[in-house]
Amino acid sequence: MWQGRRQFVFTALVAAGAVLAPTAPSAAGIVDESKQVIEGMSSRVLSTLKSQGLSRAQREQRFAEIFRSNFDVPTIGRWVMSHAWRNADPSQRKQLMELFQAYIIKTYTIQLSKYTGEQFKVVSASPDGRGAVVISHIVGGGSPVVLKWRMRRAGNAVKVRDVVIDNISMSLNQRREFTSVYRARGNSVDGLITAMRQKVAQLDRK
Amino acid sequence: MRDPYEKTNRYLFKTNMALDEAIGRPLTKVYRVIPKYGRNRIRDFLAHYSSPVTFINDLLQGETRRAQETFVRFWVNTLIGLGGFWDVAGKNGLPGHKEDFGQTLAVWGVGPGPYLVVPLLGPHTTRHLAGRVVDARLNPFSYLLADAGVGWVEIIGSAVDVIDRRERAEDALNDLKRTSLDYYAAIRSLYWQNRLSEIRNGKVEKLPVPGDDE
Repeated sequence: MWQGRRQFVFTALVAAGAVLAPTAPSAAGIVDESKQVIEGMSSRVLSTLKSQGLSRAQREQRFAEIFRSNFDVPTIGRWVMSHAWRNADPSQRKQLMELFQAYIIKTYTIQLSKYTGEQFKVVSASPDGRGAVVISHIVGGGSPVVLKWRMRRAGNAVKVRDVVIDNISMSLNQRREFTSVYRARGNSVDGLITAMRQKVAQLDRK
Repeated sequence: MRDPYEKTNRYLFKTNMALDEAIGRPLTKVYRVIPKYGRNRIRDFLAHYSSPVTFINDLLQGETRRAQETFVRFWVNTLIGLGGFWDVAGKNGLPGHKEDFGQTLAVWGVGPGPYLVVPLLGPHTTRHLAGRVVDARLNPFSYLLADAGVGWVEIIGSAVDVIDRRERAEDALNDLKRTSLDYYAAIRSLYWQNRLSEIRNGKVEKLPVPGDDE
């Protein structure tokens, strides 16, 4: 019931946002919008976790959709693959981006499916550089895990560019890791593509 | 952070992982036989035991406010928390924190030095490792135990501490190992980000946002 009402309110807000957005893309706008995006995402994740009779594959499918619609994957990808991306030709770029999408969706889906219904609550939202940051807590015994969602505009929507968990930036970790792999393969774009392909295949198998 | 000894570090990292598989994993299983409540008591006590080190480092960093907190926590938990097995202070709005001499050196302006993977102890900066050597001599409890002729108790204590940390991190580490393209690089980055956060008491400098530089 509560869930339903929240969903309704959220939908109404999004609808209102869609009407108002073209006229008022102010700083306050992106802060409120960001908060709504994170709240909407968490309620979608929760309802997916709660809905009975979903196979594991179906559940993963839904997480992937939620992820894709809320994360600015192309921008994150270009930044994470930095050097390799800059040195890649168009056909390599296409492969890199496809693999990165598959990889990051898998990675975050694994994290999401570990979520066992500890309380997730949005604590605050405020301006952050060119966008906004939404702070949320995961509470479940002991001190809460603090998540910072760094949000930026992407076309008409507001999307996640980075998640900072207890002061650790996931995108920065990935960027350093990808850079290390690229260097270890003698700065070869194809080397990175091969490593990513192997990883995605391995994650698909399990 | 620089990693000029990457080759050696990678070798030691592999060795540590093998040791962890052979010893750490089975010991964690045994440790998990203790119910969660009991593990929390052990965790609280270990934090209590090392709190004098935190106190001294709070002072050395000029953090009088935090030193006060550590001091009050120590006595509340000693007296009401039955010798530190119950973190009564933390439950009542005075959460604990940890400081070590490596962090103090950082606050004093000493650079991190090269990254080192230490046998059994894992990722460290040179500064962090040097700090540990000092910390081992800062705890009055160690001297009490040594005077009583039971210095080995402390070694068991540190071993339990390692297992306790491992137990808490196990699931996250398993996920990371499974999903990372290069586990060594992933851990190195994770260690360094976490260490910076510890040094700056959670007030991390502005992290870059992907795409802001485009």
